Amino acid sequence: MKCRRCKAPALIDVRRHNAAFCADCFVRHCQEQVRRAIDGFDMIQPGERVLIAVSGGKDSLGAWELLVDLGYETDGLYLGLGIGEYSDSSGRYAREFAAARGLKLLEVDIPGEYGFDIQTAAATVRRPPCGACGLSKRHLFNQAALEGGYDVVATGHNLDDEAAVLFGNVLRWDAEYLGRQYPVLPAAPGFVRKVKPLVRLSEREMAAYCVMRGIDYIVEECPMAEGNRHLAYKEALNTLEQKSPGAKANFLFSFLERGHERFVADAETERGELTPCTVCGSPTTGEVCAFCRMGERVRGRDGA
Amino acid sequence: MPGPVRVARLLETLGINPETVLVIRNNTLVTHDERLEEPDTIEIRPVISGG
Repeated sequence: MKCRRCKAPALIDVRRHNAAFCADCFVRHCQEQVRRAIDGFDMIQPGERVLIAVSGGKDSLGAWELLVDLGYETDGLYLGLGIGEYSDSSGRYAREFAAARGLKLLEVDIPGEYGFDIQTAAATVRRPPCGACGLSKRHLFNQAALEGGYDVVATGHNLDDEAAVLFGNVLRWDAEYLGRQYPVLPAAPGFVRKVKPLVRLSEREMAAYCVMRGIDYIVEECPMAEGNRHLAYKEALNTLEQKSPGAKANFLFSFLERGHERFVADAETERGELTPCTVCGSPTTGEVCAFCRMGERVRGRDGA
Repeated sequence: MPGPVRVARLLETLGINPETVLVIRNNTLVTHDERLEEPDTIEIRPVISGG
């Protein structure tokens, strides 16, 4: 196979684009897709400070590299989730990536600073581990961005992640979540803008990008994620993709172009009035925000 | 597995969806039409994450 652009021997084929690329042209392809996503969805304005959520995995480290390549002022934030050896190892990858490139990496250790780990929190509040993890990440990334004066939080959610979330939302016809699903969540009082610059790149493209750029990332899956619904949705979508290349991208981008707008009112209706959390000050619909409530329950402060 | 064999055929034989992996030969990525030979060391690296 030859590179579609320069005709050199190709290293990666991307069936969705009916194309193959050599290393240099593939890196340019990834940069172009991120540029197109950022500009197309008005994600980041020139001069804005970006905080990227990094896990030590291919998507977040690849996204950080791509944002830096494109000239954005970007610092990283790594959350220690307290998931044993997996957290120890993923933290090492994030630190080594930042150190090798002279980038600034902020760290928050949840067990050290909040007195609980994700597994214990999930068991206490009877949520799946990924639910407790997502809640913690959303809260702490937003809080760190506000405290650090960042304009935007970027995450490494890729095309496969977004298509899988959409698949789940459609299976349940969850109008509120469908109204919220978009590659940009605008800033609101107490909330920093959130963006997903990898929305036009698949998981396979991101893994290939990391290999070609020599980015060392944690290949092992989070042990808490094993058997979760998100993985089942991805498997179903990849079965379709194999039969019909481009199916995932069509599913997601057709929704974003023609479906999303129809659900926006549902998302707005569901959002109640927000007041500051009495513990941390974050906007919440209750007296205490969900993250602080979870922490209090794990530490046994509310008698649960 | 005995070679030579093309990457696409190898993945098919192993029942692996090509969308879900990278195939790496001697630390270099290979496309699905590449022919793998007997002495090659092959890594089939999963790319799907559950987060």
